[in-house]
Amino acid sequence: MNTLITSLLVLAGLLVGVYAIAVLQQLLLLGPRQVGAAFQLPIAQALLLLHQEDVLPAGADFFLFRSAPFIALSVVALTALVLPLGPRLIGFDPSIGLFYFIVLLSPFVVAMMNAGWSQNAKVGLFATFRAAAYLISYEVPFGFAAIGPVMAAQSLSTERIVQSQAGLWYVVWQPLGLLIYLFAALFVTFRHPFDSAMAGSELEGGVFAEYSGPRLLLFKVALDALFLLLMGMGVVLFFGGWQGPFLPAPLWFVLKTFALAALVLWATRFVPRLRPDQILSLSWKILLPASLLNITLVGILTLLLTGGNP
Amino acid sequence: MNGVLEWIIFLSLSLVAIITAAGMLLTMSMYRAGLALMASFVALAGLFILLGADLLAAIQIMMNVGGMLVMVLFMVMMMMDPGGEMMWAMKRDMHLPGPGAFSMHMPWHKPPEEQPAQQETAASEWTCPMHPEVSQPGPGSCPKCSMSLIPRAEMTGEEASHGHGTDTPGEVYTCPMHPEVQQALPGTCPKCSMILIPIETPQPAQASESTVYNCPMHPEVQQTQPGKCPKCSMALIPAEKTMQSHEAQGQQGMSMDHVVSSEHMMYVETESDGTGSPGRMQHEHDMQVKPAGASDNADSMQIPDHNMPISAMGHSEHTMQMADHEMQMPGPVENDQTAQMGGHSMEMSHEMNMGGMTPRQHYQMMVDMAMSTAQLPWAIVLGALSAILLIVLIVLTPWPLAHAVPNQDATTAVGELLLSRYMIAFEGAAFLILTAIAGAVIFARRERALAQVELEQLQPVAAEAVGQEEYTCPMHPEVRQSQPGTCPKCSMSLIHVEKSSAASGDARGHEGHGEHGGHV
Repeated sequence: MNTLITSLLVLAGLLVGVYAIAVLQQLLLLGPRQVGAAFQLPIAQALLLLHQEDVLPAGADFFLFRSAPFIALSVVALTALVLPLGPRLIGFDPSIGLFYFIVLLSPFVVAMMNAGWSQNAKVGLFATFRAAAYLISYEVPFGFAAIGPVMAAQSLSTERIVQSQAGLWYVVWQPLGLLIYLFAALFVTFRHPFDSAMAGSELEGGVFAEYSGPRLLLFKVALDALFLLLMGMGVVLFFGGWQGPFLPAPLWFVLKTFALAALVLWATRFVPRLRPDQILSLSWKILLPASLLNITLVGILTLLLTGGNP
Repeated sequence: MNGVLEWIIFLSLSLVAIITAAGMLLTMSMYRAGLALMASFVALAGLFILLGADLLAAIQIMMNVGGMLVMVLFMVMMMMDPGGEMMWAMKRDMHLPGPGAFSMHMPWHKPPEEQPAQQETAASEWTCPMHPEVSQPGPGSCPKCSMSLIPRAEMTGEEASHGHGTDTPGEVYTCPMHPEVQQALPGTCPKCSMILIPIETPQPAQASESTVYNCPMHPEVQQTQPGKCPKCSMALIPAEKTMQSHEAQGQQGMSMDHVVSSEHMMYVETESDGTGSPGRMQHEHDMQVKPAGASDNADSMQIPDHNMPISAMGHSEHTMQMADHEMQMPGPVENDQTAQMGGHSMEMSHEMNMGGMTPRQHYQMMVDMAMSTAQLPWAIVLGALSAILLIVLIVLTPWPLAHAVPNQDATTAVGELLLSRYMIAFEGAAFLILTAIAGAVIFARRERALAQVELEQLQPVAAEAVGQEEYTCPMHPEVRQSQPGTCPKCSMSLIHVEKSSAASGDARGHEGHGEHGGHV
């Protein structure tokens, strides 16, 4: 019973969060800012997609095509369990929470690949190649960037990482780690500068080219929810999680998460979309060495600041 | 979590793990096999979480899902047929046993003996499909391009039908798997790079007035020229409005019969339960002819399905009789090669139900298509035995935590225990895999050695039959005699050469063989 309540709460929270992210995106669009429309448009789009016919392409893989959106959403819901909203306010607290989070991101990309491959179309297949190539190239910098806070906190538990930042947020002395983390997070969610796996203009929607109606809605919800979760994990790792004066802990966490999301969404507006080869060379030639450098720096600083004791 | 829920989760996860593992072995598609293996590992990770070994579960997912993902990626990029669709279609079209989507396994029975009696005259010579000058008395590989040799009779049959193609301009080459691939020259299929086979379409010059091309989808589209449908741009197919006389179509009908009997025998045979006689076949043909012969264009839909031009069908009776005739007195008659071939393949297939292939070739094709080795039963037995052994070990050895107090160290102890046993199982599996690989290699070597021995036994017999020795001039290799002497050109004394080495000499070719056959 407890499990059921937790899962329902997680799903409801994710839906509300996705709505908020969609509103935020509308507010941050270029051009005249229309606040009323920004709040109504996401709902209208969702209703539109629910109304739309669910088109199944001829020759599509029966099982994979249908199951891919559900796999994506369920993986996202599972990763949401390990985010601590407050002290002891967490869905599932294994001692390796952060590792669990990172590991569950690869099944998400599997779902994306299945979506691209199963639709029996060329654009989807090309998008699949891109998605898989990004998966391989984001995973390493992502893991290395997340190792910084783990080294400092000497724990993989998300709660412990937050508690160890009571004095000083890790962003203060690990800014490079935050930067790499944010880049990798944009990779994972196929967000704007790295969205060529679902590029609207060249691949006609990429892995979503043949999806329509409720299935497409599920995919979009999963992507936005994953972005929100990654920002939340960024807050946990670098911005002290729920900690803050005066306000209750969960509110602090939500505020920080949306502030980080707004910052990232605003900053990426100024970057043009990168080509796949540029994305890959950014990952392997810049992010990977930078993350190794980050680990070295964090190791030295950890010894200097804490003397080896957390 | 209460006990019942735990049981339900455990049972469903183990069911998923077992079913997906079986699916990995059975599916024809590489991509799906990779995904099934991934799903199996994820279900296993779920079992670890159920046991409280979170780290193990996370490592399991990370290593295996990540690894499988890379594997799947390379499969999709590098494999010719990652979805298994080509194999599937091949299996369907050739009526091979087993459900379509499942991978083929090695045929269980022994390889059948080489073709007896009636093939002897035709197939005693084997030649390379690319180098017709190569000939040897038994199967083997070409010394020039190391392709496997085919019987000379097949070669000449093909050549004869090629010869037809030159005076009837309608010959095109198509892929056995992709009928939409059609080109005027021989070559390989751009989709699956199989070798194209010749088919003949009825578009002779004198018949062009009476030939109408229409679209398989839009029967109202009619043209007198081949081309594409203006509505759906599918390739137009020919449909005859008027039947022509026997005399005009006789020659073409014969070569048509070759196509029909060798490629569509399977269709006829399955319809007639393997007891098909030529008369029965003709009956089948007539049944197909009737709707089309009534010049109903919409009915021509069923014709491209069997690649059977209507002009040929009207005369199936004629050619069948001819084929019968040839069957009674087999022999390489140059002009009637195709008819002879038609009768030949028909004879075989209504005995063996294999459509144009000898049982040996059929067996070889099954082996080529199989996705497992002949050692699969051994692997299954070994795997089952080791699983039983592991279960017995776990059940019989004292479970050290049965009486443990649930304190702080209990979870650690469980994790350590699990890790150690998991590692035992893992390394046991690795050992089994290594054993299986080694076994497969050893068995494969032995099979190849056996085949070699067979081949060597075959060759000397044939060589003796033709003539063991001959003499040639060191300066003029074209000079050959069966007795020692001097060269008529330069009067050097002739030297002795082995027959087998001479067989690959291109100076002689086919005719030389016939000549030397006469010596014995």
